[in-house]
Amino acid sequence: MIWAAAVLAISALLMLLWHMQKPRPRRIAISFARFVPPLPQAPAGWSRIALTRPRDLSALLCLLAAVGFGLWALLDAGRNYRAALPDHLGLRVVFDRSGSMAVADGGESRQTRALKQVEAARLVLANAGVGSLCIEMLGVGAAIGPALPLALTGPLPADDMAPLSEGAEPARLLEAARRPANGCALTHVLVITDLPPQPADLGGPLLLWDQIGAAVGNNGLRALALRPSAFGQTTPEIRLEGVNSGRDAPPALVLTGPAGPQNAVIYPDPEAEGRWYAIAVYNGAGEYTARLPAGDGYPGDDRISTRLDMPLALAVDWQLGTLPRPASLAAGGAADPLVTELAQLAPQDLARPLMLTYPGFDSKGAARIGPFRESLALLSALNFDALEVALPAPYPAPLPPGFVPMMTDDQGGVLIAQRADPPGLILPAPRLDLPEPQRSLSLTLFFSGLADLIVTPPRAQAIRWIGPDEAPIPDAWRESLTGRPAGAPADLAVLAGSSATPQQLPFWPWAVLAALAALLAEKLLRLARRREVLQ
Amino acid sequence: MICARFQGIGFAGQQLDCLGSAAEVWAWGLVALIIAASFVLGWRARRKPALRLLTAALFSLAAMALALVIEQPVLRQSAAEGEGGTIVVLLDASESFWRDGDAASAALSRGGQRVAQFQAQIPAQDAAQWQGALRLFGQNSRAIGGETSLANLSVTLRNYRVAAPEPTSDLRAGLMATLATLRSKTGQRMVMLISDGWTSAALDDALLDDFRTEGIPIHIVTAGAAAPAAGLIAADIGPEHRLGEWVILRGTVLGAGEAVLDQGESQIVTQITDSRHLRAIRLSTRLSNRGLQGVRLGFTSDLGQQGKSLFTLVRGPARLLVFGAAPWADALPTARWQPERGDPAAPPDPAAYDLVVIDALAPSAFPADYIETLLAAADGTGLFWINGGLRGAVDQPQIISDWNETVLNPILPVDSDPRIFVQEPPPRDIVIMVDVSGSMGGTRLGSAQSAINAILSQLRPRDTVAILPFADGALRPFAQAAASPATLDAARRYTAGLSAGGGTAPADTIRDSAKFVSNYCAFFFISDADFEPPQAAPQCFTTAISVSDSHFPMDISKWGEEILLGESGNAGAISMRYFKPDERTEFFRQPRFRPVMTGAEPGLDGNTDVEGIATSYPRADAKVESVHADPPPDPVFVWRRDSSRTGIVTGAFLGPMGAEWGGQSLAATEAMLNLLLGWPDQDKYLIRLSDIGGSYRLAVTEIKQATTPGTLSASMLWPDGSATGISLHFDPRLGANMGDVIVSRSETTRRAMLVLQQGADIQRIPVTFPRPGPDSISGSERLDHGINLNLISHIIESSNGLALDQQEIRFYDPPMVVKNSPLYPFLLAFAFAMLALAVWSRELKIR
Repeated sequence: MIWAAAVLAISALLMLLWHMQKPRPRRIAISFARFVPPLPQAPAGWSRIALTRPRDLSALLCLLAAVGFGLWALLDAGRNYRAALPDHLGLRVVFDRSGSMAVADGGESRQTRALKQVEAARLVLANAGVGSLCIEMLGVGAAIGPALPLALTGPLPADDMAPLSEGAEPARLLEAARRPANGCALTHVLVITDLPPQPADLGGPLLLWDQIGAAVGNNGLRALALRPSAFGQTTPEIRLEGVNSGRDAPPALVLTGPAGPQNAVIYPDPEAEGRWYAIAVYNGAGEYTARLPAGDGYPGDDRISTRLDMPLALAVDWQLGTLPRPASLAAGGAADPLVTELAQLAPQDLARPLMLTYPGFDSKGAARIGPFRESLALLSALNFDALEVALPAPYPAPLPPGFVPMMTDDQGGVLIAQRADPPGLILPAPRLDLPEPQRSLSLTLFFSGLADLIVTPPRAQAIRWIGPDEAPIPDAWRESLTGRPAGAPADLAVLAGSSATPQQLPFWPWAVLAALAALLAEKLLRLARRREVLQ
Repeated sequence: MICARFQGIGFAGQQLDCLGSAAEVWAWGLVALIIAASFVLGWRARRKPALRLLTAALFSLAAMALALVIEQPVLRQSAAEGEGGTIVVLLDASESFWRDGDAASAALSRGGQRVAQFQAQIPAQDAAQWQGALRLFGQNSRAIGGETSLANLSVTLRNYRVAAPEPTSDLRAGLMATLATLRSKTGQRMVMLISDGWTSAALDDALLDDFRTEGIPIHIVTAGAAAPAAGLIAADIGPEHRLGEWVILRGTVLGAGEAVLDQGESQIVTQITDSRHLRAIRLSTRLSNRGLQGVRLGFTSDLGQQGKSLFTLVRGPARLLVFGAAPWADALPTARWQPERGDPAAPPDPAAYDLVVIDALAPSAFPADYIETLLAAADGTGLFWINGGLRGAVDQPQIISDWNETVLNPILPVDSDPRIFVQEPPPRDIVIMVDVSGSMGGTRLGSAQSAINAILSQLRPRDTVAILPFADGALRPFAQAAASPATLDAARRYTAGLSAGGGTAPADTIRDSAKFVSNYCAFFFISDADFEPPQAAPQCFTTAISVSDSHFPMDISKWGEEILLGESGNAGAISMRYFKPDERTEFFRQPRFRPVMTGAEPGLDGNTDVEGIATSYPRADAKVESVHADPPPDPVFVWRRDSSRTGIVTGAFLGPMGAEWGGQSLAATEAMLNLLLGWPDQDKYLIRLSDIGGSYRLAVTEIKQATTPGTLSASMLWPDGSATGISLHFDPRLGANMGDVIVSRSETTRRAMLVLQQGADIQRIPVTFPRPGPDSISGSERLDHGINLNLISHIIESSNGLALDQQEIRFYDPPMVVKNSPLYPFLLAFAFAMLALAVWSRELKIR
């Protein structure tokens, strides 16, 4: 800006000098005759510029006015620019301290990259030319740490920014970003993490989400589920689930249980890319540890441990008098599904997973099957032709709340009813002493219903992730996706950007307009004369 | 004004921008006056016009520069493009959502509107970075089209309709696939779920946790039907029936309509009167084919057409179409066989039968086009030819030869033309058993080695060779390998390394040779004949070569051929019958003989003499179950499953089958027929096939314990020879092996073959897929209606999503600095420099 003002000043000086010029001495034609007497002495020390009354004062004043307006415009523009700078900058750094920040890519860890970004942010603030500055830092792992003030220079508190053996999630980082200010009036919040950016309006401070770290392939264990033996037809199984991020799943994992280690083959999950599962044998109650081959991006999700106490067989609270409990089912208690008869039903039993039988096959029912609903698990094994030959009598009481008819006879009597939550079924009682086909029908229907009720998908079990240092890692699964693509870096220049306060309209263009007016005035003055005094 | 005309011009990564000012109009007005005045002054001076013009031009430039300053031109650093993001719309394709088409369409329009509103908030430079995608979930989850712009996505949503709603909605599968898609994306990511919240697969919290951890919100647009479904609610045909018995189809309907039972060639129609309650319907029919037989139940009402294919397993005696005498057919047990006599002159459609038997009839006995009909029916209908007795003279072609001349030749199990066989024999499996006992020492071993080399020299690369030396027992063999030049060289080196020693016990080696038996095997037995006659005999034509002057002690006629080579015999000069072209000219071998069983299939031995057989040569992939008792081993009963069209099974009995095959040999007859039927054990499995809309679900329950170990596998064979693999998994709730079958749409009834294999046991069950009608819409959600608010709100809360029925998605632009470099200092400096020049230019030429 100074140089522009200098140019204007020099221009003004030149114009002034031009106007201060003296006329040149007249050119004189000398005849030869004048040589005869000696010629007069030639004038000496002639100066082109002299402090004298300008030759065209009014025009000069117009031009100088134009220059003056130009200089004014320059000054006003500079003042405007300075007014746009904020008075204060307050930065909160939300620093991801989750386990995946220890992952190394490209020769340095994500935490090292994150610290460099904090340094860069401090530098931007220091060079912002703002008088009032403050920086605070919140470390976030599974929980949000305390707000720590950061100096503009000097070493960073490395201990308070070191990765923790914990998993973090974007919602927790946003929660930290939204926390009320702690003595530092915030203008900006900078989230430094390896998690993908989250759009959010913090209601004042500007949010910068800086996703750091290049993709590093990783496999991680996600869940362990247990499926008990179903009526002895299947062996109890452990289903292990995991994710692979940025690399293929390993061929197998090792599950160590009470009966020793076993290799479980890993299969890609056909339902979703990036997921896999492995099936292993459940060898009874005890401590189980699953381990993936080491050497991938994040080591904290490669080992899980859990204690499994489930009996090898499904357990039911069997209170049925017409049929003994099958040997393949374990004796259960109040926490297990109840199998009972209508006559023994207590009101509080209706709140449990329930299979309620009634003496349907004891007496002859209607002639034909009435309306029914499709249920693959419940009715697919039932031969309707055979059932219609020996249709059971309907349920002899009003249906309990929540139950809907699945099959009725043509008289409207309910033969089978079902409840979704908690699971419940009402069926004719199974009887071994019935004649055929009632005996087979009652058993088929009963066991189809029992399988539908108690054979559930594998149930997820609580698991612990164990780190390489044998310490547990809460929610390590949240850190597994280290192979996600890297995001664009945040523009830290935003930290020193213009104030959000709307600027007033600048005056300086009007000053330039005035300069133009002055130039026009100079022209008009000269035009007003009949002839130019000056050439 | 002027600056604005050049706005946007790029320069070194920067763009010209004009901030503008209210003074700019005035400024350019003044400039115009200044320029005019300058040039008037220049013109008025009348002296040095060029100089005056220069002065005026410089002055004008200065004025214009000042006017440009007033427009506040800046060079704007090109704003970095944002990362953009991805929106995946997950649309419910289930019947419960689309039952009220207007409500569903309105929900889609609302979704499209929300996308458009969101897009409108995105800065122009970021818009291209945003992508959208549409995915459906019903029976399964699938993407509709690829990624597109948000503008296109919005338009697509406003216009998209699901033409064939599906009976279930697997939201979990949809969300899992969506999560997998979004995990590979950078930038902002979100899901727009358009659904009624009724889902057939439970959602686990772990999946929603995954969305939360990834920071992917699930925003939801809802719509739901106001009432349960009308029309066809449920249908059942019963899992199994006997052939020909009445089949009762039961259903549940709501409202009035017309129920149609479609069996392809016939239809049964029933009118249903209006009812506001669920109502049972019954239709009955008969099914005339074995296997999984499908019918189509349709329901037409004011709401449109619905339909569902229903399958039942029809068991019953196999239907045999018998041409010719076949006196044994009358003795077949009616519980398992239902033979029908056919008139060759007016033959019925063979496709309606499980097996066609042609006894001693030439193709000429049938109408000319019937041979083509037989070929077309062969996928699913077994074909069994019985050559019968001698026709004419033995040197004349027999009946089987006539069939070899027809279009059926490629699927026949034998070739009866000796000339073709001689010209190009099929690949042969050569096994050389050589005695290296102590008595073979000296010149005998050398003679044996020369015999081996003579055999090796006659092999072709397509043959195989194995050398089995023996002494006290079997010694280390030369393993069977293709007779390539390298193999033959290795075999010669192996032969040269043989040495004599030990006793002579060929029995083990003769027994071991059984594993090399094939349709075209040839054994060579080389010894000094100095041993006790072995109990076992080779199971292939065997050339026994004696390297002494002794004959072999066993009945060599049961082996094949004997050659006395002697201790120093010249093996190159001997003539081995096996390698000589078969000069046979007879098409029939007499007299009566008792066949020898050679195959692996049990129960085929009829213990009955055969009155001669037509001379034939089994195809390389055929299975020879019995052969002539004397060499050469001409086949008696041979059958094959076509390797390219695995639904085709054909068999041939090369002799006559008289009444005794319906008496003492009836069991063997049934065993032969069962091989050609493909579904020999109807009670092995309970098989159910269910129409689940767009595909079929197979459930196979083992009723009988498997006779051979192995995992059950299933595939569907189509008439064109293609096969569809079915991935089975055991469902403990159903106690069945379950798998889904995708069937391409066809305008007609389709026949196929379900192949269930467990170890060596293979069952081929015919399947009839009925002609498709409107897609199946009955299912578990038929009586669901309204919106499942519990699930909807749970998803929104768990994933930090929005209820888009009330809210719109806000766009949060990542903050970025816009760096402006103002140009006014340059322009002001330029303007006044020009002004100074203009003033001084007045003086330049003044005298």
